[in-house]
Amino acid sequence: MPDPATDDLLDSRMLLPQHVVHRSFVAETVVLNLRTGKYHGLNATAGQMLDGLEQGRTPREVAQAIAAEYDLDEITVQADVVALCRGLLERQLIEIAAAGDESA
Amino acid sequence: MASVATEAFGLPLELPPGLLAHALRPAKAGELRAPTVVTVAADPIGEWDPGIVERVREVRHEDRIVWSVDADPGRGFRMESAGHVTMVVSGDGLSIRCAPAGGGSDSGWPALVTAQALPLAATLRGLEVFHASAVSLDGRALLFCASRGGGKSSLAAQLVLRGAGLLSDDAVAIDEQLVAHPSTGALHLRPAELARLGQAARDELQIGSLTRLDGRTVGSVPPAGAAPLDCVCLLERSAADGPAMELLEAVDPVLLLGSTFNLSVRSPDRLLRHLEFCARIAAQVRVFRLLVRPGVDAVALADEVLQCL
Repeated sequence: MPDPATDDLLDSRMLLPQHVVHRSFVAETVVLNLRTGKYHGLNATAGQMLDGLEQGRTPREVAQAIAAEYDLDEITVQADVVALCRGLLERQLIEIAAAGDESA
Repeated sequence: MASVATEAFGLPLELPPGLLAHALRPAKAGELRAPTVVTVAADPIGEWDPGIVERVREVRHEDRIVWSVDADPGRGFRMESAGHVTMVVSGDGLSIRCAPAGGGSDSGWPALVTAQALPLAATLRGLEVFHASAVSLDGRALLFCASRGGGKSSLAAQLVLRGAGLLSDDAVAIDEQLVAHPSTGALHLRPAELARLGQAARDELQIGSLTRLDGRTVGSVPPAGAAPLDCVCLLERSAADGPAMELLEAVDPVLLLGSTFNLSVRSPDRLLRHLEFCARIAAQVRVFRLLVRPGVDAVALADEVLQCL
C-alpha cells in the first residue's frame, strides 16, 4: 500500500475492518485483530483518537477536538494522530475509506 | 451403563458412574441445557491426519511430547497425555470421549478430564475459564490468579479452613453475567503446605493418601455453589515494600487477558468474548494486587485477604 501523504491522510476518513475490535480499559484501549489473534495496546489518548476515527471524523477533525479539549497545540496533536494512523494502517487495524464511502 | 447427572465449570454433565473421585455438585433441578456427555471409549483414539489438524499446544519434557492438543475444524480437539489418556472434545463442547492408555489401568487419568477436558468444553460452550483458584465468601466469589506454583491452591485451602466455600483450586469458569462456577472439590497441596496443616485441618480438607506425579497431595471438599464475581486478586511474588494487598485503579489488561486457562480455542468469536469478559471484569469488579513476599506463607496471606476484604 503506498504511504499516503500527510495532508491526504489528515483529510481521509478511516474504517475499522470487521475483523478488528477494541475495548476500553481504565487506562488503556486494547485493539484485537480477530484474524491474527494479536492484541495491541493503546494509551488513553490514542484510544480517544481511535474512537474519534471510528465515529467517522477525519484525523484533522480528531486532532482539532483533542487539542481543544486539552488546550494543546493543534499542529502537535495532528502529528500524533497521523503517527497513530500510520501505525494502525501498517498493522491493518484501520483502512482508509474510499471516497464517497458512507459506512464510516 | 447408567450415567450420573452432575455439573462443573457451569456445565450440566453426564458422566459414567465413578469416573471422577472428587466431589461434584449435583445437576441443577430444571436444567434445560443439553449436558456435556463424557464417555470412556473401549478402543484407542488414533492419531489425527497431520495434513488436516493444527497442533495448537504442545508440552515437551526432555525432548518427549508429554501433552498435546490438536484442532480439527470438523471434529473438535484431540488432547493427549502421553501414556495416560487421549480425549476428544467435540467442537460444540457437548461431548468428551476418553480413551485411557493401557485399558484404564492408570488410575490418575480421570484427573485430566477435570483439569483439561472440562475447562475446554466450558470454553467451547461460551464460558471463560481463568487460571485461578476461587472461593465463595458470604455469597461472593473471590478469584486468585497466579502462574503455576504461585500459591493459588494453598491460599484457597487456608480460606476454606476459615469458612469459605471452595469453587476451584486451579481453573474457574465465568459466565457472561460474571458469575463464577465451581469446578470440583479437589485441592492439590504441595508438601510444604501439607506440613503446615494440623490433623484437624487435614481431616477438614479430607487430605487423602493420593499423591500425584508432581508431588502434590490431593484433598477434597464439597464444592460451593456458583457466586457472582466480587473481586480478582493477582498474586505476584515480590520483595518490594508497600502494602501486601492493593486495590488497582487501572488494571493492566495484559494481566487479565493472560490469566486465561485456555490457549487452544482461537476462533474469532471466542477471542472477542475473551476480550469482552476481561474488559467487563476490569470495569465492574475490584481487582487487587496481592504481593507474596519471601517468607510469607498461605496462613498469613489468607489473614491479609480477609482483613482487606
